Amino acid sequence: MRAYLAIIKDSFREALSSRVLWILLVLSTLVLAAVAPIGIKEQAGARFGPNEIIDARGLLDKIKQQQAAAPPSPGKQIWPLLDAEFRNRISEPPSAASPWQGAVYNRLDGELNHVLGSRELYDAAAWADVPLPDEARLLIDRGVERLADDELWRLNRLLLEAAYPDHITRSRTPSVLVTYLWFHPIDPLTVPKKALIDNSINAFVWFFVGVVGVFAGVLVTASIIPQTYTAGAIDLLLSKPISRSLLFLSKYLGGCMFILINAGYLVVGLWLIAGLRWGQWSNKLLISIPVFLFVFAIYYAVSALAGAIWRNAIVCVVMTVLLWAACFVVGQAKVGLDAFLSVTQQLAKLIPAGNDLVAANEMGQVLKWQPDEQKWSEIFTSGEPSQPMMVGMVGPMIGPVYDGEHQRLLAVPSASGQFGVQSDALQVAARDDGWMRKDGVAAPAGTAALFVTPRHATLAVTPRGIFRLDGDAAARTEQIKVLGFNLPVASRGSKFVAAGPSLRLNAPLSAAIDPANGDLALFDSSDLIVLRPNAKGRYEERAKRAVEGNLAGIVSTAGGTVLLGRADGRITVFEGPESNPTNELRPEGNSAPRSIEASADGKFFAVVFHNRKLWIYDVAGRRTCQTPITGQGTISAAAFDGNRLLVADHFNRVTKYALPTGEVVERYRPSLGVLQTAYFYALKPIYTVFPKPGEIDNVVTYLLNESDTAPMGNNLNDLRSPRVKIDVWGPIWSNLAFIAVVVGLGCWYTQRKDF
Amino acid sequence: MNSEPVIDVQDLRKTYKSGLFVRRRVEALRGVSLSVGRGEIFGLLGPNGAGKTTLIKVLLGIVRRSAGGASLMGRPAGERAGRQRVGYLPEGHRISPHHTGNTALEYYGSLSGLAVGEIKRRRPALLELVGLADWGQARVTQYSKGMLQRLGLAQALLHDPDLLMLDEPTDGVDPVGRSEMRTLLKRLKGEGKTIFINSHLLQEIELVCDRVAILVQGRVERIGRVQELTVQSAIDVTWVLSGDESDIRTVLALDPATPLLVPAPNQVQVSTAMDDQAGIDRAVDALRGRGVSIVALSRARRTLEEAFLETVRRNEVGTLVT
Repeated sequence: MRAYLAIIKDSFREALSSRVLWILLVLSTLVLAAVAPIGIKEQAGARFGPNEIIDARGLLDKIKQQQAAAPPSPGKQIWPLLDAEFRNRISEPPSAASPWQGAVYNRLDGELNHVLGSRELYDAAAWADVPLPDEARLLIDRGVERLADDELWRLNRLLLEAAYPDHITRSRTPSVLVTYLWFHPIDPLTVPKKALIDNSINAFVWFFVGVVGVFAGVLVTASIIPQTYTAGAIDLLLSKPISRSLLFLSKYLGGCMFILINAGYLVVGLWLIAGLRWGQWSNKLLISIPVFLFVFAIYYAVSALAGAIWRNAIVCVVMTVLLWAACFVVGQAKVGLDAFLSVTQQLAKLIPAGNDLVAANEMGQVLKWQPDEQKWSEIFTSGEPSQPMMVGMVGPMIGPVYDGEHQRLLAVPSASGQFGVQSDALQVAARDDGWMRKDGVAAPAGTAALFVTPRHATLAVTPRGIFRLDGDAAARTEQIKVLGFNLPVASRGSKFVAAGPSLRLNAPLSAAIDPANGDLALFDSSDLIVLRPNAKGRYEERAKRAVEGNLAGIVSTAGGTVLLGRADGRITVFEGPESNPTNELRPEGNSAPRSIEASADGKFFAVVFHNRKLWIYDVAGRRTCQTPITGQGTISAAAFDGNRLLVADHFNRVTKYALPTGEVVERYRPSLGVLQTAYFYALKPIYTVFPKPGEIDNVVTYLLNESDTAPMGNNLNDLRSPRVKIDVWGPIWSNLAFIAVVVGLGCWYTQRKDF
Repeated sequence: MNSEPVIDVQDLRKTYKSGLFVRRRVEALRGVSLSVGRGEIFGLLGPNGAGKTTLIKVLLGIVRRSAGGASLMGRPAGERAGRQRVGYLPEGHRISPHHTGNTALEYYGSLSGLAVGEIKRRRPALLELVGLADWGQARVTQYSKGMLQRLGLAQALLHDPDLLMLDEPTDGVDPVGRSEMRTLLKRLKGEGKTIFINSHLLQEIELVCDRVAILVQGRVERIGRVQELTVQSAIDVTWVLSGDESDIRTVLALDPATPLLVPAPNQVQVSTAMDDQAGIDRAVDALRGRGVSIVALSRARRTLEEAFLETVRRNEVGTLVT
């Protein structure tokens, strides 16, 4: 052992003698010195984050209304602080020729965030009639002019929340103030401090260690093995009483010292800065040292083998670059095709529609199974060429839901949920109409869920209340302009009317209906509310409980049982609205649930997780239902058709199971297209056996975020939005296997070769 | 000398194969047999490509033998335990440029199984012994070729081996250094060490080796003590004589056409090949009987180089004939 430790020590010494190493260490020192002055301070929530403006359209209308009126008002104070071009833009009401669309509402966040920094916003007369919270009064009493920047931001946010409680949610996300020395280079950020630090460090370490460090390591260490195997050097070594294989192995391990020094220095430096400067001792960060050592080990295995065979450092570098290129091409092709198939073909929702099976894919396209042709065909179209929405860029489509009485599908476009627009329209597609989509009545602002109750009423759930469709869903809502304001007027009196208590919930809101009794369960990250319809169909609050953690969740209810899935992967079972949790499970670790479906009789709940696995809960047995479900790891949606379970897997295949036996009742399997064939039979097998050095940082991401999925696009908090599945352990095993094979070949070659 | 040979080689063969599709075979060793006894300094001679380095590499296990047997200190050649007791200085050895003299010895000593403390204890004396006492801290990139050779010798001696295998040990070493190395080798021999030297410098071999083998085209053509290799079948005798030329020609049986040198007035010089000492004695008696004065008489002895060249040329002729 002494001899092999000497070889490793010699490699360490060789690395230390490298000028490149010292250059990198000096650069790392400079980088750490540049990072150290960064200050990250958490402050009470001020900036507007995603989903914090519930009703953008209503808010803009109200500001305009107040600005036009004579008396002092918050709107009068806000108006001059908005950008002139934005004021002009919103002065004109939206029309068919010039719709406001998302751009205006997107910009509203930024405009209001700009207003937050103004000392001219507060005026005692303007806020005279507005009840202010104590925190705001204390700040006002200190004098607006004397407030620090972060205090001013907080005060202005409180003023806006107080002035427009129906349009703006209470600030939930603390702001993070980033400083550099005594400068404030950027506006406060509306992300959790921990996430900001973790993600920044992750990206930083990935670049400086995973990319720069590994590349430099490959260059510097490329000569170690060729020099060792040079005639004159190898003879001397092999004349010593050591094992040839262990000589190669020790040299290989010794070469890894280079990256260990680099990564160790930079990561420990960052860890100290994060702890001492930002108060976050992220011990998991230190794990990134062996992780990046592992990445380097993959490349260096190839370099070492090439060095042993060809004894030429240039060949080593070329072979390593070729490996990197091959891994990159295979990895990107797999990820790209996977994402493409997920977006264009993966079924995100299954809707049993009488005798038909309807599904919605990630792009919001609605598909119907054609049993004769054994394929999916698009329905719910207006007859004009559709413009599929970019997945992740908009919120999930609300619905479609099937209205059995009228044999039609109902949905609300996704933009409604995202931007808080006073809805475009409820969209309706009737079977008799060939499932052609038509715009119906205006949906309530901020519609988060759409249901058809057991009594065949259509409900829209928003953070502000429950609304029931009164009249014909297909009746088109007209808009008329009164004193410059747009007011919806439903034709023939059809409209959504309040059907429950006024609520003050936050977005994103998850809602579910009990298919048996019509009970509603709502969850908004902090409160779980159960409402029950009275004899007149009006909903009354039956139970409300605060849920700790402020984590987004998905709720489902059936037969009086409520299942709540949280972003941290916990599934909590309540066997009754008022009861305490009877069970709490974490069947998929930290992977968050994406949807929870309940059987009509309330006996089973099916949870689809973002890691594309399905878990079934047996309510009576209070345990996991051991039903054999195929396609685990590729499951994207589930639904109950009566007491049969429909499961979508492998992008667009659906299987119908009988519960609890798991007997397959029916399969809906379209033939594989060219892309799916290439994916399943060529790319995926190659990808499986190929090393995946580029995906090792998944482990760092996993360790930092404690989740094996990552959000896509803007809907970070909405669990219904698709997420990227992070394969944490797969790359570890395939890379380990690769290293074992390549290093084993190096050992074998060294053992057999006549030098 | 102990009866058990330190190196024992019996009909050793090594064939190198190369080429992926068209296999080429090169026979480097074609049945080599030799043995080296304990405390002996053994020299291996041979032209380039004769298989000298291959033989050493087979003995050390760096190259695998194709057939035959070889053992080091009673263990099969190449066995790790056998190498434990061997110090090897390869030809054109290369010490990594990041080393100093001290760290190089620490590294190679550790590979030989020595503890670092033990290496540090032995190192100063060893560097002193090879003439690098003041160079331990210097990077090997600052060393001359001769200094590198001395450092190589130091690493070979560091673990106090029983057998030293030196491949061209005086390569690049100046005459003073060579003389020092000869002294060192004799001292090591005095300590009971066995030394196996592979060298092109025949004079060096002749001066230090007890026995020598001449390897030509993978075969041992001659092996024996240096004196044995330099013994000739006929003795060259140079005469300086004063007397009648016809008597001289008659007694020495010279061809009439053979010219006689005249080194001084009334003297002639002539070289003859005599069968043995008795022949020389008879010729002296006959010359004196005819009144010829013998001014000078000298016997010429063949050098090892001449014996080596004769062996190599004879083999080349043999190869051409076959």
